[in-house]
Amino acid sequence: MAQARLGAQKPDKIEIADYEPIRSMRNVPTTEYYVPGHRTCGGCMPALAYRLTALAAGPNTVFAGPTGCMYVANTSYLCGPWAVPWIHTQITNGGAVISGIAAAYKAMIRKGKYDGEYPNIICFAGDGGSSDIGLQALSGAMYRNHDLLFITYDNEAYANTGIQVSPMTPYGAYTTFTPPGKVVPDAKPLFPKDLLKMVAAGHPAVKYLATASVSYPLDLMNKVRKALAVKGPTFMHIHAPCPKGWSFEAHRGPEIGKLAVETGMWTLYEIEDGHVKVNVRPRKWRPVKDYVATQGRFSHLTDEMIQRLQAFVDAKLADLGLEAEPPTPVPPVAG
Amino acid sequence: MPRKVRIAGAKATAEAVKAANVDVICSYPIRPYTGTMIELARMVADGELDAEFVHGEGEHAQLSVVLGASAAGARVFTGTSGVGATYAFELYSPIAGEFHPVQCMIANRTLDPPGDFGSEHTDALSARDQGWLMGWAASPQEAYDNTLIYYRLGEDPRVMLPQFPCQDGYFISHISGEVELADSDQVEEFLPPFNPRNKLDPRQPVLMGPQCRADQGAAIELGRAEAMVRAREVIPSVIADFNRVFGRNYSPFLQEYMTEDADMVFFGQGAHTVPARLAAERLRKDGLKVGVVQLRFMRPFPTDEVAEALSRFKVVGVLEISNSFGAVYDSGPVTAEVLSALYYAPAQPKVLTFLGGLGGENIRLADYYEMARAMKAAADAERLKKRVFWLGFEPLHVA
Amino acid sequence: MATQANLIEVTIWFRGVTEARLARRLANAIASAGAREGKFVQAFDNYADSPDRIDVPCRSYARLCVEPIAEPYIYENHSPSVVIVTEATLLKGCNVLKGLEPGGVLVVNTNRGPEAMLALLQDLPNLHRLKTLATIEVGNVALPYVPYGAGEGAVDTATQLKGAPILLGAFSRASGVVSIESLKAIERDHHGLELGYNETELLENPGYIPEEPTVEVLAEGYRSKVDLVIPAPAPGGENEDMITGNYRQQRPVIDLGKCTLCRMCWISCPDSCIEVPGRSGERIAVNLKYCKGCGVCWSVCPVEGAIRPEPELNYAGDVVRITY
Repeated sequence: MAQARLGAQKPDKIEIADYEPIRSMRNVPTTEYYVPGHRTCGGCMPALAYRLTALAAGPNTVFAGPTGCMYVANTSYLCGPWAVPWIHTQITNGGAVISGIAAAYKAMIRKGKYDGEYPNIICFAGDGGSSDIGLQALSGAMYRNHDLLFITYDNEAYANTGIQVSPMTPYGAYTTFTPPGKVVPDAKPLFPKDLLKMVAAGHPAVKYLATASVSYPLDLMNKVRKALAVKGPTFMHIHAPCPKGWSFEAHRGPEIGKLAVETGMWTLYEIEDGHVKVNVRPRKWRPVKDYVATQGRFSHLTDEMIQRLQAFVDAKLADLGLEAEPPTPVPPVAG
Repeated sequence: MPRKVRIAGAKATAEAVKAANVDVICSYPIRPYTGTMIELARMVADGELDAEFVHGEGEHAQLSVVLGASAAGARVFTGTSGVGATYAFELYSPIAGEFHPVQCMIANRTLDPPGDFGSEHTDALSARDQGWLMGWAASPQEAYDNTLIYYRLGEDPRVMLPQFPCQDGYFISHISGEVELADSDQVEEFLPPFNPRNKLDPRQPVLMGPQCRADQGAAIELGRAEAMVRAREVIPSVIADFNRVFGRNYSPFLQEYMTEDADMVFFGQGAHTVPARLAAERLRKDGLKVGVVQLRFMRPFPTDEVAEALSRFKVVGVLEISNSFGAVYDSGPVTAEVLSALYYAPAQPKVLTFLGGLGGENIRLADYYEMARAMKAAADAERLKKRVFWLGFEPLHVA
Repeated sequence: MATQANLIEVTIWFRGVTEARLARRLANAIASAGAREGKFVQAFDNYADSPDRIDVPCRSYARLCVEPIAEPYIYENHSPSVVIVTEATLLKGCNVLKGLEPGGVLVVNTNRGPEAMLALLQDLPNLHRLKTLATIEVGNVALPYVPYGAGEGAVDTATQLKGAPILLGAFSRASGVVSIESLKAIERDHHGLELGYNETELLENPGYIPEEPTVEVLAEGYRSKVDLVIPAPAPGGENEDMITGNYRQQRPVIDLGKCTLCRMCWISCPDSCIEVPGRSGERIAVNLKYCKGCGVCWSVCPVEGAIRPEPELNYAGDVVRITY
């Protein structure tokens, strides 16, 4: 396993409460807190991410849901599927609203105004509400040492508004704001932000961060439990394939999520007290081409563009100490 | 025992917030309201006030933090000024629409441009239609009192609305005056603990703010409108209660000064009504019967009270400390409300608008005299040639 | 009840995302053909159905009128004269005859024939207003998978889709709302138009009861206030206000003899619709009231044939009809 240190200095030791890891499928609790009845797409993987998070977190939980599919589709109309408290937040401010909830519980418990246990406080934000318009609030929440969990469910676009580019959209992907055309043949010409690294690098209060994928449900749920057990702010970045946005058949979400991990388009790792631990490392990396072929959003890509994407993935893996062999030569950047 | 101190409005507000025993405070620096937060930070650090003091990463975050905290069941406080108030604008409607009785004090400051620090009411008034209670203090004492009054009003189960207690930046926030600080028995008697209508409690889960269809939108907004109407009904009894407990003498909506025999009145909010009173006294010597009507609540706007009170006079001179570019008669938001209220009044006085104090500039005593003379000329004139003036930029010739 | 005596409303029911382009194409072509015939026309999507989600029942509309349309800015067709259904299981899950004008026409894309479609409509209160039922086999219009369902508010006049002309031909034949000649000026695929026109199977509804059309009168009474804070469903419960079984075109059928109870389907279901154990005591069951038929369960199942998809139309019940 790769061992590297990432992030700023960590002056305090990690403080982690007892929690029950889920060791096998049999151990997964069966009481749903994200119940049937939401207007998400058939095969919606962000919905699965929500369900798994709610299963792992259990009843003593408060969710905040910034604007996005997981607000609009889940609450169409004047109803919702959560069996725990949930509050809508603006797409801008999920991190700030959960900061307020956390501060309130801390104060109310201290002052004897609340006699329950401190709840799990979870913001479940999309990639736009985390890496783009919500970045400032996310940073504030991670910086201030509240006891809360910020989860980014990443479907790599503003999906609720009809699939528009976000900072998490991969290079080369079609969105309605990045259509491939004569002048811009590669659709999205930019490479995505590295959100987890941004959070890790600049927020010393954050002792636990993890990526996860809906295609690895036990890993995801255990990370949720661990993140909630860690005292202080924690961050999770969940890869959640979007059949509408990425243009694949509704039943293929779990397969495509897995393919992302097997090609290195997504990596499962956690950072605990500054130490990086990669959770899934395929024996042999599959080419990015295999992943790209599964989704309509990449259907316009030429071999050269795919090679450029492969080089980006190789560099990202190398950064985690997971060099692909042999490394792909970097194609020239388009003018 | 209540005790008297000499402090400015910013600090007076902090004292009242402490007296209200808030649970969560969210700060962000911007002049001139900052003094309140500096004082609260000290109180929390020294253990005088047991509250979570959260450093917001901007005004937008401030309002978001207190929204979340109020939704969880905490009594909350935040504050801002000028462009900070407009940066946070997105949150005003969700906070009111979900009935979180958040208190956000505004120490007024002009927007950019002109970018100076002076007091102008445009920052707060631009947010007047979102379902927040709003009104101005004319002294540090009134700033202190309003903080407590607004918590009581906003958290009233019939109201449950957020509040903007405003004070003119610098004039009220920075210039000290005598303030009587309440003792805890008085506060306990006047302000019951916050009992939210709904809260994010895992033991009784609710969903707050789901998406609705177009045909459900009005049905939701009606609730906010009705809460504002009920606030108007509740205000007189709350003010009476406050006067009883604290020994003050506030009118619920309109504080009148030397109006019994007045032909004409200055009508305004906040700090600028104070020199207007002195002007009114002195102008009596010149034979000008001028009074002052101070508006204590902009929202809910006291329509009937304004219509009834102002129809007693020949001329009303509105001190318009705010811009509303392109507004009716090119006046301003207060004039627009006054004119509307007077439409169904028993009698219609002539209404002049004096756009002054903009960018925070001073309105000097001489200006009040000049305004009074213009009002007198208006009273005598058969018809008015001009009714809206930029104070100091043009002669106040009404006829 | 029409809002305007001369107004002809055409409603197209379709599956979100996968059939959105087709539905918009139909609505735009019908409106354009109507305009060629000198009518005042509109084409629009139901705004509350947007953003559309994969397989969610959605509506697109066309309106045609010999005089200016009296209420042009309205969210939906309240009283369609013609209803086109792009995918037949929508008949099972939706009230496709809602507000139907007397003498109404229903055009369905199916290979099962009009009698089978009529059987699906027996519980609908407006069935007696349906005069003509037309079916045409266009095939699975969601295949081949057309990526990038066009954006909201966009028009798809430029898009040529194989299924559209066939359905338009059937629509023209069954309803006569626009002529096949007018449609030929809009759609390049004249063969498809004629195929649809000639091959459509027509059935006169034996239960049709003629009645005079009436013009809508506003309902009496006032609406009540709505609260923006609502109770949460119970743990392990259901969100009763959003029943999603009507998304389903393919039903997961579990072969208990083959199922190893590995729970992969259960853990992978985004809609919490696999139950272990099932509500009635089975070892494993599918919640058909909410199952969207997305296929994730049979895709992740490691045992060949332990869960298999079956066409929903092979089954009589188990879909709660939405009434909007």
